[in-house]
Amino acid sequence: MLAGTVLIECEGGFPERFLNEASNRHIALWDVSRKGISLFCRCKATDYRLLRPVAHTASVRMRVRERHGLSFLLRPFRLRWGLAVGMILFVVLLQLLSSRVWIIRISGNEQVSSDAIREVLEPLGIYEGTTPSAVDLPQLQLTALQQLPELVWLTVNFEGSTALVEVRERQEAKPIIPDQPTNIVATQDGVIISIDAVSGQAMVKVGDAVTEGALLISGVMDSKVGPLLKHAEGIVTARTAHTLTVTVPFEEEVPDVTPRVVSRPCLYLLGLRVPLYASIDIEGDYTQETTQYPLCAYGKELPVGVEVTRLIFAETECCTRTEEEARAEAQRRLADLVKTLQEEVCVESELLTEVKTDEGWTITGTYTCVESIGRYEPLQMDGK
Amino acid sequence: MKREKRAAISSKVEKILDMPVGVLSEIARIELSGNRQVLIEGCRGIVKYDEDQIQLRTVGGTVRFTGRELCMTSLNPACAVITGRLLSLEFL
Repeated sequence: MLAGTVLIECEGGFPERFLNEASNRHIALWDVSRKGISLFCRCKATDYRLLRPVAHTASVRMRVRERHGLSFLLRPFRLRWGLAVGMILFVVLLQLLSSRVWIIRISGNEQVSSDAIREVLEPLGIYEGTTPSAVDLPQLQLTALQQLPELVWLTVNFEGSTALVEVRERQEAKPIIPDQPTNIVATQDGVIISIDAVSGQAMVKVGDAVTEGALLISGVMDSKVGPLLKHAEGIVTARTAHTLTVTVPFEEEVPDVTPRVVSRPCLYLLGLRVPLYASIDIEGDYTQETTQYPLCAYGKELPVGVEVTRLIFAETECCTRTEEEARAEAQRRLADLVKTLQEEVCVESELLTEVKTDEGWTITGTYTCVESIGRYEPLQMDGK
Repeated sequence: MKREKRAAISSKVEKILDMPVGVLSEIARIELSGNRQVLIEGCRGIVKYDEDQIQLRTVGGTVRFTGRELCMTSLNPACAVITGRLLSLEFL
């Protein structure tokens, strides 16, 4: 009971009279029992004072044997008002803070970054500290999708103090080749090594040299009833030449491998940021990286943690190379370019030319490759 | 004397009209639950209270309950509840 109860022991006098008098005065007594000469009974703590005149009338001596209830539990703390204030503050803060959004979780995005979505949602009312009732969801969805054309669907669900933002990205439709008359033309110069015309009329033979834009498979076919227009289909493979040139100077400004980094940690708490560094202006050319280290509880990120901003200075250093070093660097860079080239074409042979100039070391590579050179081109009708 | 007369008349009327006992006459209503609990309605006060004996004054007279570990779990002007191991009930 919140008010509290007491167990009273009554001794001497006339216990029966005590009980009768208490009953007549509408003082509730219960668990009345007699043990030897003592009478035990329970009553409300607030009624104990009322029992004193009753006990006096019945010549009974009352003693409190047990105290129960919250009022007696809190009695030792009655002078510690700070505890009460703290408890009230706790309840008030809990009530206030639990009605707000402190964690925003975005899911379903791959191409569009979470930061970009967050930037759009912030002016629309989804930010740390907002109240869910203040969000106009239909308007938010409409505006956010207009501002983020990469998204086709967006919704916000509130789960306690977490705003779950779910998005679906636009799937780029594969280009549909309409069933219209087309030719296949060469994308670059080369010598035809194979031609497989599935539909249409082959206009070149194996061994023919073609230039960029030359007609390879025609969509116009002759017939008895006149020319037939078709959608040309086929694979044309040719031997082509690619030239890659790399020049490595003997003296070069290169980015510093170990650049100067200044870390600026700050404590963030419910959208508030408390810097943990001296506010000194930093001059220079630098890039900024921000990483958040939130506190986690039961696998959920809390809106409390440390945010570290790293200022990375774009410093360069002068690199002086010898001829051998410049040559080795040029070979390394050329190898990287060839590797990229090999992802698209099949390299058959290479011819390297190395030239030393006053500026640096130049390597020119001429590569003979085998690749598909056909590309669709719509038929130009009526001279258009 | 007047009360006794009135009680006698009330009883007779109840008997003539075939009414349940206690509708007109003032008598105590005692409800026993086995030998573990007894509820007394119309309790006017306690005459004697001991570990193994409780005497109550009711509207119909004095009633004595004897037993072991007797405990009055409730007491108010309307009724009283006694629990324990009841051995006997006497109307004095």
